Amino acid sequence: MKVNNTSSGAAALNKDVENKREKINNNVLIEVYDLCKKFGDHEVLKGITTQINKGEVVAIIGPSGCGKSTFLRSLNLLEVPTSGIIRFEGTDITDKSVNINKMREKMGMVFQQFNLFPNMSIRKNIMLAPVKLGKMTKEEASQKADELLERIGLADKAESYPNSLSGGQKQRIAIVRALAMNPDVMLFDEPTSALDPEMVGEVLSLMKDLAKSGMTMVIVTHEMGFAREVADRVLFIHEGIIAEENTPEEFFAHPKNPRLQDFLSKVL
Amino acid sequence: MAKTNQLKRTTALFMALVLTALCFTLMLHIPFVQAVGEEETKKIEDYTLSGKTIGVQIGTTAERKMRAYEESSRSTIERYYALSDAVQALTEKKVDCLLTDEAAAQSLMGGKQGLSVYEKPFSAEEYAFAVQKDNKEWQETLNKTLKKLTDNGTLESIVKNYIGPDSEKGRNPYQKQEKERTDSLTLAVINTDQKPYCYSEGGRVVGLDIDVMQAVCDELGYELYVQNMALEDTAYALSSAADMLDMGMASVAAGLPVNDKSKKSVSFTSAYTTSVQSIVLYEEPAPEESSEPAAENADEQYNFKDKTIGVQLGTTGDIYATDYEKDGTAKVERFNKAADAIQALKQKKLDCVILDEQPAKEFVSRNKDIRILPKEFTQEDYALCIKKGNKDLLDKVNAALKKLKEDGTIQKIITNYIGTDEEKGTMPYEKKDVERKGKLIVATNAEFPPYEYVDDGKITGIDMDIMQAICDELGMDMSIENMKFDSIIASVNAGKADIGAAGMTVTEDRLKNIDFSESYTTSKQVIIVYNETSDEIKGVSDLADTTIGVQLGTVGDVYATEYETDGYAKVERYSKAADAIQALKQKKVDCVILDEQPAKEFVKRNNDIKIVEEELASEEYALCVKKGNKELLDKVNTALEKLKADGTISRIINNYIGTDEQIGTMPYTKKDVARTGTLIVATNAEFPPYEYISNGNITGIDMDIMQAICDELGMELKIENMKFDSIIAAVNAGKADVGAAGMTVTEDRKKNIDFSDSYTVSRQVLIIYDQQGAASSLSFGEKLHQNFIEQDRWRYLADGLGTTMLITVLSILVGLFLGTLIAVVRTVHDQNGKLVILNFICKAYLTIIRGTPAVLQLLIIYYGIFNAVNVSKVLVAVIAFGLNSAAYVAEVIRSGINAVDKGQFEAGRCLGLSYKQTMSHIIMPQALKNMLPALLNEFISLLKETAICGYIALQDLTMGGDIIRSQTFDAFLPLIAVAIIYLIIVMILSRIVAVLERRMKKNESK
Repeated sequence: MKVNNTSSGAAALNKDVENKREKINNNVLIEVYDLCKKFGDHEVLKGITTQINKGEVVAIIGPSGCGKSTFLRSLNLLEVPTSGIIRFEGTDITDKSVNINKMREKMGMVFQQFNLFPNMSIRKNIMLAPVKLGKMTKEEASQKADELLERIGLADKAESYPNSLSGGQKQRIAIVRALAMNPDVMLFDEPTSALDPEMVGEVLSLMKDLAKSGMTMVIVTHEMGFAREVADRVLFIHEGIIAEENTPEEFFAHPKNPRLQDFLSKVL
Repeated sequence: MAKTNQLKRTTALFMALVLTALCFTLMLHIPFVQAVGEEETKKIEDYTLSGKTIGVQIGTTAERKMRAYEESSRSTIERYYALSDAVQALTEKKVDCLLTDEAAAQSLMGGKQGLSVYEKPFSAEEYAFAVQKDNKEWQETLNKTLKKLTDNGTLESIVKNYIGPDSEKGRNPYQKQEKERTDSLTLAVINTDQKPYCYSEGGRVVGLDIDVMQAVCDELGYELYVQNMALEDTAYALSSAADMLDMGMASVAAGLPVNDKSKKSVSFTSAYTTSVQSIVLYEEPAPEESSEPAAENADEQYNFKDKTIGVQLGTTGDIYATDYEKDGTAKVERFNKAADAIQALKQKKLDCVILDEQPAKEFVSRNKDIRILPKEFTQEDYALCIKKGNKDLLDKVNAALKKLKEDGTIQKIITNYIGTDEEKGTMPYEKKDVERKGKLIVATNAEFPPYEYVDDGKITGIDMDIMQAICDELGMDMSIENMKFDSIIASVNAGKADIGAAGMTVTEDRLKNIDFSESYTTSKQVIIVYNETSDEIKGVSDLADTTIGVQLGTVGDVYATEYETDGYAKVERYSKAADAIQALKQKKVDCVILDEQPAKEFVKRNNDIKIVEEELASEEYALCVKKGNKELLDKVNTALEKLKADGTISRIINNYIGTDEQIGTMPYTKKDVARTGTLIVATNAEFPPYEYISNGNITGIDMDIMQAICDELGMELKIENMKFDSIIAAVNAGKADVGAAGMTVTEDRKKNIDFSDSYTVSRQVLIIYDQQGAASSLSFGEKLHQNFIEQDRWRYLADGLGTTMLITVLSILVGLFLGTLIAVVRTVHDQNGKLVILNFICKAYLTIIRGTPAVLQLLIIYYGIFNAVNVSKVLVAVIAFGLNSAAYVAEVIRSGINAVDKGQFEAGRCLGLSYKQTMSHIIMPQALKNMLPALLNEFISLLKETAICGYIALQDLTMGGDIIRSQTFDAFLPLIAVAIIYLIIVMILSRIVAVLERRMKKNESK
């Protein structure tokens, strides 16, 4: 892995974003420097530099295939960058010597396809990681599971198996499963895209609560309304770079990038 | 687009390959013989070669001499590589005559009939060496040496080696001796185009002349050098040679003609050989059968041409049949077991089978529908085979054999199995009580009665007893390994067995690979043919030397007695026809003579007998009355006439023996008439349908006719039942008035009794055993009994099943274990790119296992890898099947893992779980569900695959069925039984699979 720590990279903090920032530097949770990702010959990410601060809710929107998901998945190294640096809580996770498993314990991820484990009950789904990683004892984990399920009103589903639940329920449980690890940041990869319209609401509602409680969240989504309401910052990734970045108000009301204008006109 | 092009190219390539193969095959079959020569009358008195087509053998003096004839177009020359080909052409009249060396010509005499050597040789020349003119001393030396070589036979041997006969050519090349050489000798040769005297081969100059000179040099202690003058035109040969000899550039010259002209320039040694060219002629012999069959011509006894011969693989019969196959005379079908060949013969799939005499006799004694041709095919000696070079064991065995022969043990053993009927089984060999050290492993093919076969679960037979005797002599334990015949020599060589005993004949081919003991017995090869057409009784002429069954006192008896008196046939007499029939069914008699109608009845009720088409005799039946009782006779005749006229007789007869529609439809009903007096009828109510007992009443054609007559005469009918013999006597004695018992009018009887007019005509027919019918007539129950219950044959299946299950289960375990390992390696590599070398090894392993047949893998492991080691066959099978199964299991597991959604893996990792934890807690449980059906199907396949165990002689379920089959000759039942057993087990396993699957599904949804 090339350590692309050039001076230009270090200094390449997006000027647009700088004045938006309210937090000071040691509140930075994730730093991304010149992130590039190639799949074979196809360059998907062409140099992304940004920061995710503590407590921030960052929404990422854009047309499909432009690298949104790739960017998000790079943050916890599900996709290994071709070049660039990603720092999580000060540690360079692109460094091979880093124990990525340990890093991932503090990053929760929620998938478009929920990815609940069908061979276990809901309770077990939630308990699995904390227990296997030694974070909690079985009893503690079980209790935590009950708590979390209570919170989302699905306490009675604790012994059910995933394939007997609706999409919305599954996704909420997926969120809760990730929360059981007490992560510092939650990554959402189009969490509602696979849901029936009527279930989208309950999931978004949960996410809103989560944001209100101060969780740092990075959300790739098509839900513009949600983004406008909850996000602190909205990113438009287009052709492998951050084409536009702004507060939701400015972003949606006065888009500057022509492609973004185009996109928004179609979507809104 | 690209795909269709590729397809076209592949197809084209394939077609090209096929065509090439076809052309190649065709080429091999086009004989060397070319245009047929003209036919000209041979003038025997003064044979001239001009205008003839002459056959010569390539590379001989004859060929050289004929070149001149050919060049001047005086004759046509046909060249052949082998003398036998030339002879063939001669007998087929493709050439008029052959020209060849006298010795070779003489060797042909005594072969094919009709060949002759023309009395006047075509040419005769002496060959001698030339030396410098007038060098008497040197000449003397050479002559002395040549004489010595003649006396000790060296010369003759060299000549034979080059000139033949064909069988001696090349057999005994002269070997240059190892000795000190004090001088050198240069031999000048005219050219190297004088086969076989002096020619070039493999870069060297060789030939008869050279070898003789070498022998001379060896005697004299000289080194031989050859100087090739390379003269194409022999006209200059003489002067060139003379010059060389004079100048001392050569000491000897070869190839110069010995004549007066030459003698002017050089001096000659005495002749070292004479070359006589003889003419061989052929005249087709008269078509009578030749008296002595030629040594190699077995087809004069039985014409194999265009026949299909059945043989057992790897036996001497196979070797002989292959010869016929090679020259296109006959087709050959090869079978693993002799019993299979016999089976095919019985089913007429073959014309004949060639087998050793003793086993042949066994088979023929068990199967009446095959027989041995009287003229034997060949005769050979059997010996035991031992690993090549194992002199120690060979000597021991031979010593033991010698002793056993001398004290008569061998003879006793053989007689016990194949002696006369009285001797058989009376002197079984008893294992001796001796001290034993070590074990002798005997390889055999226990499907060759009476030499080795399975009897009551044990391998027994002549060879086995002999081996036991030898082991008793040597003080060793004996262990028998049963295998396919083909495998025996390989086994002995590989050390899996110490000695092979399997009725094996000593052949040149086998001697190349194995050593043989002294022979322990001589066997004959005989030809077995189907019996139906030759031996089935077709008519009276076939009755010779048969045993005829008849009912006492019937016409059949009369006829049979005639045969008996003439010594033509033997006769067995029975009180009842049914007894005779029973005897026929049990093959105690060869045929039965009966009246046609009763015969038809019996045949109808019994599938295993049939009536011979040619009827023996045709007669009329009549009633008998006391001699001289004219009154009664007239009354009876009148009544008969009336009854015939009004059709009553016909009706009565048809009611019993008409068409199927007529039978039973018109029973005679007793008329209601006034009756005065009683008519007593004597009969023998054991002759359906003429008279017999049915439901306690005596009934039948004759009874009904008598009733009708009584109705006509107005008398009461009373029936007296008695032995047939007694009827005439009873009628004469007045105990009965009329005799009615399907009686024919014979001269003898007419002496004692008077006969009415005949009331019906009956035919005497021959009833014989019907093999075909019999085969299908064994009831199903009988077949079951024979195949499974008789001799506890079901045990073969039970034991075999046990072995099959054992191997399957163990192989499954091995396959699972190994397969999982491989799958893990492959998956890790797929996902992480690690373990590159291991992955490569695994891929190679998978490719090989999946790309070769399982049976090959089994054989390679048993014979190749476990070559010198003596391992349990079960172990070998488990290893082979386990390895094989692992390859498939690995891929099943891998695809099962791959089938799990990738998101599952990602979710696990994103929670912080390691690769291992994700795999074991999340992926594998799901993968297992995916793989389960495929895995269990693989194991079911494995179960069926173990059926090939028989290839390494492991007795599993399939082999069990085979063994039964070879004992009962019933192909169908044992095989079906085995198939059913497999099927049942597979169904049980499938059921378990289904239940398991359902359980796992349940776990998912609650």
